[in-house]
Amino acid sequence: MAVDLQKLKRKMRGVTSTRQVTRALQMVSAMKMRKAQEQSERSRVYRAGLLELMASFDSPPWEAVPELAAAPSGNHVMLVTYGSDRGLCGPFNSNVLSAVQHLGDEIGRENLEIRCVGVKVGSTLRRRGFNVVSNMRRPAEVDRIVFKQEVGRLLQEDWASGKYRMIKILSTALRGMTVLKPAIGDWLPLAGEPASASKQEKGFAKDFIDEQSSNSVFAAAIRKHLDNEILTALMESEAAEHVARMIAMDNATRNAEELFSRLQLTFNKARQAKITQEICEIVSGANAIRA
Amino acid sequence: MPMEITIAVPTHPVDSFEASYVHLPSEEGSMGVLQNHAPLRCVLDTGIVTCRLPDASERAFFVSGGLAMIADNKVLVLADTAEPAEDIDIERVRAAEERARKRLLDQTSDTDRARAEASLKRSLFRLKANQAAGR
Repeated sequence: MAVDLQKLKRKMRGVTSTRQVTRALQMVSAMKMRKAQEQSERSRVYRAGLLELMASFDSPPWEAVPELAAAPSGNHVMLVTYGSDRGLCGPFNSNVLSAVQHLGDEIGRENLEIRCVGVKVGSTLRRRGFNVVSNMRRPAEVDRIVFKQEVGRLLQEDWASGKYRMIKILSTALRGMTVLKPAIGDWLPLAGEPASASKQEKGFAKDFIDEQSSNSVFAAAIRKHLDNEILTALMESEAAEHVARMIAMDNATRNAEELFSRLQLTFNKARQAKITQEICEIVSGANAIRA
Repeated sequence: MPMEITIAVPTHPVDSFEASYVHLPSEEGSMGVLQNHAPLRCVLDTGIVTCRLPDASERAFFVSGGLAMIADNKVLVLADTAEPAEDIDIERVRAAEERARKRLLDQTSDTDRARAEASLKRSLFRLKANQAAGR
């Protein structure tokens, strides 16, 4: 029997340690996911409140934010993508990539400029020849608010430059425990969309008094809404990333287990064959001496 | 019938409870809200949200700007940051106040000055909120 037992043993050890690593990663992701989901849920109170406040404007005074509602002039599109900083999360990043590719094909690559959150996606897009303006790491939990303001400011500046006709956000959401396909949402220009979100629950129009002028309250709400969308996308895609990684690592662990049991079987057979052969040799040797 | 007040910041809800009177730091000046207040929206300044509970005790929250909406005996405070007064870390606030004062004394650029002023304002209101809670 020509099976090298040492070699098999080494391979089995390798598979075992891979399985340990993937299982550990899976458990870490499960924990992070629970946390990220909880945080994402906790942020909904503010978001819902803000949407409700914006919905309370009967006819949104768009003229309060002329620069944001203005007819777009440029012909470029700015896309903000939310990916992961690291790999090993299954199709999470590649789904984002293919969505970008799709949009690039649709509107023409030369018209598309991208700001990436999550360096993995950014560097791949750069390699593929997309115009990546900036490639940021995902912020740590404590830096989220700073990140939100920073990115908000950057995008507002981009918008003010007049180069773009729209700014879009590409992010991955979760539904229950299923990672959805990444979706592209509009950030700017505003199209009266935020106000319609919870319109149906309004029974009759209330006459709101505005402490300041309606316009300035509306402008403040819109600006906060825009900033908050950046944060929402960040938190949602983070939860989705952890779920994606958890599922990928679960699959990897299962594959390693299957491989291990197959190797174990081969190893046992080979060892048994070797023992049988040795006994044969000893017996035949003894027989030869006795004869 | 008391009002329901909800205070939330972008990352999480801070608190939600019933109150008979709420005092808000609107940008136009501070403002008291009793029950059956007319529907109202306003932009908030850095300051203190004070609430009187139905049992006549008081609660104070430091907020640094945001929005508020009052309708149907519900007060919704959407703050940029909000802290219950009793959770404020006095040592840290005093250090921040010190830093801001120092930066204001140094001759620096306008943006730094504006930032230092904002920071000083936050520190002072945090201290005030904390004192209000200590009473």
